[in-house]
Amino acid sequence: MTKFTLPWILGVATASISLTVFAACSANAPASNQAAVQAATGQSRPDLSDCVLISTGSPSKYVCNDKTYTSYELTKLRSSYGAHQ
Amino acid sequence: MNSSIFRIALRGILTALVLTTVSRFPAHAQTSPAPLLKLYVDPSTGQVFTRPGAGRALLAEVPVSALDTGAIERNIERKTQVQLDANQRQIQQLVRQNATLEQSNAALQRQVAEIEPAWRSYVNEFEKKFRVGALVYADWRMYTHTTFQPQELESINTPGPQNNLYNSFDITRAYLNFYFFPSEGLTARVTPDVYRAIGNGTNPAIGHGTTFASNLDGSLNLRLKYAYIDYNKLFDFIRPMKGNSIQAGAVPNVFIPWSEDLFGFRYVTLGPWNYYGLSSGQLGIQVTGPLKFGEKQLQYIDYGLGVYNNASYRTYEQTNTKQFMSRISVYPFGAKWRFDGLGFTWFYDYGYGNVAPDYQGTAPFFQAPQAHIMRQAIMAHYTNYRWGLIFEYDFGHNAFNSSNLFSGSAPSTAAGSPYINFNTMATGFLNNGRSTQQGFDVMGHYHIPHTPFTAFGLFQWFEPNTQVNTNPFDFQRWIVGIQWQYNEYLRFALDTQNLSYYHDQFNVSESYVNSFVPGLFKAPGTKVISNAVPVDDHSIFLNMEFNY
Repeated sequence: MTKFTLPWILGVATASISLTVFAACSANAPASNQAAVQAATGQSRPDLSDCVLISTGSPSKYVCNDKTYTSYELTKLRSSYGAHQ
Repeated sequence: MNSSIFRIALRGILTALVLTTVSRFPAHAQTSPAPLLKLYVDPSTGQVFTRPGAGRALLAEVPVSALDTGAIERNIERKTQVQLDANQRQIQQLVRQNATLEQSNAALQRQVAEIEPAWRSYVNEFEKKFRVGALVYADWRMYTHTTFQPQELESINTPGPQNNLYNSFDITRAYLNFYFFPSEGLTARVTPDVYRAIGNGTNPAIGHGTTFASNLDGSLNLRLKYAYIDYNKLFDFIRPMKGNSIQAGAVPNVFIPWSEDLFGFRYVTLGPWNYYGLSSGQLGIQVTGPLKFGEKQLQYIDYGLGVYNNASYRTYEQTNTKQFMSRISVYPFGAKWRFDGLGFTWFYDYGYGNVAPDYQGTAPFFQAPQAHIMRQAIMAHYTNYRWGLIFEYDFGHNAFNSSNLFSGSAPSTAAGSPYINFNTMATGFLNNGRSTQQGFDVMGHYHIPHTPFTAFGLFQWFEPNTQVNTNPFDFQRWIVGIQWQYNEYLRFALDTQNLSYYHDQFNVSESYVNSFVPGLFKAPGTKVISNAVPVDDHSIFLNMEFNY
């Protein structure tokens, strides 16, 4: 019977909303380090570790560098990139 | 005499030779007299001379041209050329015939090729028009403390209090996704899923003296989860609505699957309203889609409207009313992709208890099962490549009953069980037809840069009925974990899931419960339900998702 008091809950809620709004205010900043890396290196191959999952299905969908890829497409890109190494 | 005969014969031969030669070159003979070769013969010896002499007589005169070797060569060349020309014509004819044969052969090959790959054509069409996928959720879980509680995931159940260290390997989802694309914009989807069959079926009577044993034994069975038609071109003529979709059948509703994708960890746990009892799928019709504006076609609104059965996909419809759901998400700064940036979402659901129109309730609950059900969620969420945060406020009417509270583990009501009154209390507080719910949730994740690891967490605070002064079933739930994304299709999570009925222990009087459902306890008097607050639950999960 752990105690999470109402002030504690409200504090968490307030902090969450504040953080969310703060994030919105920084929306003009580069959305990700991936974008900065791409700009610096010119490398456009999407790296799964810098993508975000937006839909679980057949296939799943990821967003990398503001472009939406299916899991199949990411696999193909990874395979072809590996073949050229 | 002999010489005379010989001379006559020789003269005849030479004459014939001359005539033959002249006849072969008539033009020369007629147009320009050619020099002649005169031949002489000595009749006594029969010798032929080219000069006159004593005793020699003129034998014959032969045109010199008849003896011209160049003319002979030219004659031969002409004849050869004629022959060559004939041969050339023959060869050309053969070439033409060969070309004709080649064309004929190619046509034949084409015909054969068209006949041969009927199966290949079928396969090609199959690839374009058909897709099969799979989605599997599996886990191993271990509870350091067990309690009565809702399911953390579908198809898992846990023994109640006093069963610490209970652990289990589970399959909580095994979709087989079949997609058909008969024409542009049109999709048909059929998705069976596993479920755990629980219960001891009654052995059926066969004839007078026979029975068959029930095989309702806890197997993982398959059932239909989704089966619908999707058309995504209906409003394409309105440019901002491009990407819309209208679906009919057993569909994923407009809110639960969307919120699962927003959080991204459905394979770890159910989202808040799903955890409280709203199913992710119903039979009905719905329209969803984004609204995009501007040069960059940013998404400012994402909407979903649907009308469904009051029953979920796994129950049959009994009502003559229907359930309405809507969700609208607003992205004030515009979203480049789904969930991008700051968004605000409102979800609204209104329906009724799934009982037949002629349902006649009996005391003490009477018509409570027919009561309306309302659910709402107001959300603020922010997502980028690195992290996501969701704040959600939930409230509802009659949206959480004792079946939802105990979907994972329920108190026994068998004779002699110590939980009979406890269960009765739960039904009094939650199933009375006038309950109101309220909850706050915070969910989020942080992706550790350039690694396959993501930390995630969830916190829920839920009041199952705010009408109860101090509700022993008020709970808080929290999850923290770490995810390892192996590749595009496979990910794992190690997490701890905890449920805390957070009020200090106390007793609830039966008469207070009866104030919600008069007559529920037959003779309440001063009797109480002792230690009404359930114990806590703590567990460790190892989850896996495979998705293709």
